[in-house]
Amino acid sequence: MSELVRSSGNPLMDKIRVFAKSFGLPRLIIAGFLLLLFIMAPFVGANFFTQLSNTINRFSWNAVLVLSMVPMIHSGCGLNFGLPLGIIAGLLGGTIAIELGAVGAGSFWVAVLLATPFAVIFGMVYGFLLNKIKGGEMMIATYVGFSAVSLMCIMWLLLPYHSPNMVWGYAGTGLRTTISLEGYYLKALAGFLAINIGHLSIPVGSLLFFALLAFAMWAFLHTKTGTAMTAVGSNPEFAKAAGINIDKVRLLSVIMSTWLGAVGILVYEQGFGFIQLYMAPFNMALPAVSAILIGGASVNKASIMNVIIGTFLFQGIVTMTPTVMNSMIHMDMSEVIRVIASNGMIIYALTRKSEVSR
Amino acid sequence: MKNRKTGYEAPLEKISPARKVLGFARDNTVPLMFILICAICIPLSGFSVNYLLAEIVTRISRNSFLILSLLIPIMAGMGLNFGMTLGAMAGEIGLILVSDWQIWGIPGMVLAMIISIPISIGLGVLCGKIMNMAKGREMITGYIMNYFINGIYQLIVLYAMGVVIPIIHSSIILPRGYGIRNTVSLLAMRQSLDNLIAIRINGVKIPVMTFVVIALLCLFIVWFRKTKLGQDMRAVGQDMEVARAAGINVERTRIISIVISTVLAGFGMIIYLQNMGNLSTYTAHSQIGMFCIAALLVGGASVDRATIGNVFLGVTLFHLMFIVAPSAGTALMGDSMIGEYFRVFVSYAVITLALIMYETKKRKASSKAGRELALAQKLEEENK
Amino acid sequence: MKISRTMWFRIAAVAFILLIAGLMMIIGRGHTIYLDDKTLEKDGKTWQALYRIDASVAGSTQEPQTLYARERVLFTVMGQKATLHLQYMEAKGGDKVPVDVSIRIPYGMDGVIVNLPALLAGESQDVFMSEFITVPDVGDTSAEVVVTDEFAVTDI
Repeated sequence: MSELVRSSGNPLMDKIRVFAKSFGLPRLIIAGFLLLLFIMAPFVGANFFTQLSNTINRFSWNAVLVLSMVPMIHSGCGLNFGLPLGIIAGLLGGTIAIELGAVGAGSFWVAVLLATPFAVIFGMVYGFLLNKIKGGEMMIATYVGFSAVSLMCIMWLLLPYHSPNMVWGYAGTGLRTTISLEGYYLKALAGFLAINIGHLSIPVGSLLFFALLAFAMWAFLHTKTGTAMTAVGSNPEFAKAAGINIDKVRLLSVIMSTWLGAVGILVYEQGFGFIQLYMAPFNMALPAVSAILIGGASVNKASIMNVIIGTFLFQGIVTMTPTVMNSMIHMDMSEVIRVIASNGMIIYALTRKSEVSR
Repeated sequence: MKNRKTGYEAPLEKISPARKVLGFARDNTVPLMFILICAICIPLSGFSVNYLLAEIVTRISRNSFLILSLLIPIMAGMGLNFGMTLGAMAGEIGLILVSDWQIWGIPGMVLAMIISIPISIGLGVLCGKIMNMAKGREMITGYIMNYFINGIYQLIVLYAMGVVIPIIHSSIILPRGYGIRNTVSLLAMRQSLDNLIAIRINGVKIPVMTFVVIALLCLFIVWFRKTKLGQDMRAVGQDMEVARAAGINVERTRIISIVISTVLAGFGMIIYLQNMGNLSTYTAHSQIGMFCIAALLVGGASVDRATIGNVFLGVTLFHLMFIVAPSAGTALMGDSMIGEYFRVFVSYAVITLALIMYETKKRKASSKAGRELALAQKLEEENK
Repeated sequence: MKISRTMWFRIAAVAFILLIAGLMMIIGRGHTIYLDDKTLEKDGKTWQALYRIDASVAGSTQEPQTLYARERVLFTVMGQKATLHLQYMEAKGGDKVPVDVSIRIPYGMDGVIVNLPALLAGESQDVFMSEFITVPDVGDTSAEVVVTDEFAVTDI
């Protein structure tokens, strides 16, 4: 919501200033930084179209994970630092799909199918927990996520997997840390209808899949349950007075977020090419959280536009900074810049009073 | 007993011994659970009592100072100070510089501590101010501050040192010409505090001087609680609005609590590293916050209440579990990795449990207060 | 500008801490002393290496060591003053002559080489002392990978 901006007498300047204030200074800085990188790319010898393709590619991997933040933000459960739970559901789906012998692009859908019951169960337990601790969701979510990841580390070693592509060759039991998806659902979505012209390659399939899910989410948010969810997040007293069962709605939002998280990691894996187990899901919540915040969301309000803008900006910075900085000053500061930018963004969001942002 | 806030008087009831035991078990779930885990794992691991004793003494002397630094923010109502890592980073910068300037032994340690003070104060003030802007979300904010400041730490240590900040010895610089290496040897001051006065009982080395320093810190904390500033902090921790009404500068007091904690964490990290003898420049501080908080919680502390007893009980139990878990895992499952993952899982689970218990207690207390208030109002109405 | 009592206390505290810091820098400065029993030629004068020297340095963590002609031993010491307890034998079968010498090490030098024959002949510091310069290890050109995040998702 834009605060009162003093009129300077010039209507255009006022409009710009109102826009700038509502958009937020950190986001402007990040967007400007990315624009700068894109402009500089050809000057430092990086092909513009290759960089654009890389960015769009990474966008397609991460977009669903960022989308999974939306239901929980809407219902007032805050930023979903417990994303690793959904990721684990997805990992279970993927590994079991391979274990049962599904191959080729179709194995992607098998994995989604298998991940769903796990996601629903995890979501129910997680949602039940969050309902008991309204107000302290974010901190507990973080540690629930960590506990789950470390518990699964033990499980990956103990569960009875036997597929030779996945287990340690030496011992015969226990899953490997990274499992290649060659022959399985590598590029299952990306390969579908891909556009490859010269340096430009766009994974149309993945983008279509994301668009489908995003549209479904948008449609849901306009249904009766969806509006109830938004009401619970932005105005709990009104929701209660209107007779909405707050706990039930929150539970639903958590299950949705967890399921999207599961699908999201599968989408990520089909683009990336590997299943990463053990400690890998540990730090996957933070990039998704900062991406949606960069896109304009706040702790209790997020829109689909936030997801798209945020993922694009975040992945743009992750892709472009190494190449451009490296060629320019021969110092690879990209990771440090990414860490400072993404975490700074989260701190900015946490220090805002709960507000509605476009 | 009259509830001061609501004025509601609860009828006195006799508590049976069984209820008392149950209540004790419920209040101390975490330490009891840990005692159980240790009781199972210790015989499984096959370690001798002497070995365990020696290890525990070392770990208590190494970690207690760090864990003690967590007490003051809890007193001031800031919750678990995940931002203690900021102090750890300040201590590390001090150690890198001292190591480069070839200042050895205890003077080196003292110098490193002195260097860390201004850095800790700066970081503490920043952290405190940001936490004040995010009231109600202090813990998650402190947690994210960790990552954020870690990025800045890397900016300084991995890029600026050697270039902008002059480093005399190229042996601690990466081959590329700038940035500090992965490990910095602290051999010159290794165990200098520990060895200052060390006695051996039955083969177990006891670093007396280190324990003296830890005891001094305990005395400091006890004294601090009685000072005006300490009382102010406790008032702020109880209820911010009441404290503000009483004229206490709530924001300033909260920031001071974080600053003290950060400075102490810096000193604690230096004590920790002088015992290790080696500094892993980029990873030493990453898990330290989590392990220290887990240890404190294992000792029976909660998010809003922690005593010195919790610190020592916690460090003993937590590290006992930590030492025996891998070997117990090998004995049980034939794979030591399981034991190692198990101890990581238990550390996180303990924090999760403590946070959940704190939040549910908070909500129960506020809803109970609400009901008592309603009841008191009803009684007042009836008596009119 | 009126400086209140609290300000004075704070200034005094800061000054005190800075004093301690300076003190620490002086007494904590570590040096490595290399004792040589080698024939030294300088400015046309020659000092012959002695047959055998037993050396120890007060306050050093190292035990007393013995060096014969053409050998070098190492002692580490904290502070700028080092007291050497030497017992030298000029030729095989000769008498052991005990000598105690105090030397001052310049603050800026990490390592110093002390030529014992020249020192025992009573020469001045600029004759018997020289700086030990470490040649940086050029051999290790393998890129040291800095692991900043143990749990980092290894990414393309």
